[in-house]
Amino acid sequence: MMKTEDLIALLATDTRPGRAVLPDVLLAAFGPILITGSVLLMVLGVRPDLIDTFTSPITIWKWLLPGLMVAAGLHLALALSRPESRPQKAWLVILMVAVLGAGLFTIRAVFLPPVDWIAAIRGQTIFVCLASISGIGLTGLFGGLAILRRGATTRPGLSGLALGLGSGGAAAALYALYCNEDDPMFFVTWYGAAILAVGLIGAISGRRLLKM
Amino acid sequence: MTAVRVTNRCDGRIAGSNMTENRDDWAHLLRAANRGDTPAYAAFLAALAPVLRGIVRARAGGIDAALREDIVQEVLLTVHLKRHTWAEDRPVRPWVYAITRYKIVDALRRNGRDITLPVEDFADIIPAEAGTDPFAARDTERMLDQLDDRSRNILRAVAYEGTKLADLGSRFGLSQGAARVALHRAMGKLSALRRTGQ
Repeated sequence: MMKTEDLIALLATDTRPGRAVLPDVLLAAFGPILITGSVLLMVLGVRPDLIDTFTSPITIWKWLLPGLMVAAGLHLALALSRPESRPQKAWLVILMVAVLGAGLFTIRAVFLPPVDWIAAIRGQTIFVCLASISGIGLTGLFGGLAILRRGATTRPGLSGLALGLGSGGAAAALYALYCNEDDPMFFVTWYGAAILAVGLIGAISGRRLLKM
Repeated sequence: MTAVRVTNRCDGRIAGSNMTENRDDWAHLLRAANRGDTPAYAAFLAALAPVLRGIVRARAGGIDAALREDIVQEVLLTVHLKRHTWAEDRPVRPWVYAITRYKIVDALRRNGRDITLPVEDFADIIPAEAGTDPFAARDTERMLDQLDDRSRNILRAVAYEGTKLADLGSRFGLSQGAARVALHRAMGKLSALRRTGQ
């Protein structure tokens, strides 16, 4: 039987401090995303009209929405790594991104005859889109999870979900440098699906890997 | 090791009137601990233990004393391994309580199948810690047996024989830095074992 007093003496002997989650988690999550994303862009190529798309009020959302998701997801994952935190604002931002995406989708649908909806959603590149965003996103998710294990979350599933949404968002923003499918009905649907998939894998993995 | 032991074992008093005083104390001690003040750290943990014991008894009073002490040890170990997640400008208590709550829920869930007694009804007739040493938990010893030899020997040497960190290296043929790392890793392994409930 180990007495609690002995345990305390034991713990006090261990003077090696724990390692902080920041800034390593940023490197571990964004590093793999940047590397795999760059490789993909070298293979597929950056869209030639990239500069013009930045000034279009519609296509700019291909970066704004994922960008907001990155900020909110990472913020949430970091906040949750402190056990006592109650990060409600970050959840609101994630909800806002979803609502904005749905709004963009709906506005586009209103201006398009219903017979064209299916074609608009389907686009030409569903498979490459889903595979690229989720593939790149997963590298960031698991890189980040390895470091996030140092944290002390009391909600491991939610922590993994947040990190997955953030990683998926970063992957989508990179992929958008190649992707020239600018119909919101396409990119909201499939970018969203891929980001959500990385988020769900994050939630499942987090429940196992982030448990204190 | 010359630890300053703050052995206040009056659970009730600590949770009650001394609370305000302790709140500042804890942050003070833990800040000092983060700067390498080992006696302050031992004092912090020693002050923490009776409070944890009180919380666990209040929240999980139906389970037996040895199991409750397991939970207390589990919280202490987690507080130790995760102490870097406490931000020095924040109060200590909410941080400790969040970990404690999580560990109580976790333990109750894990032992849920074993504890089928309607504890509310039997609470009155369960003898209050009679015959058990409330400071000893049964789990840790069983967990130690499952560790690799070196981790186990290191933890035993420190916990039972009071081996100092400075002597740990020479005893196990390690540099002092390597001994620190080995001790830290051994605790991580112990924690992982407890977590999986093996």
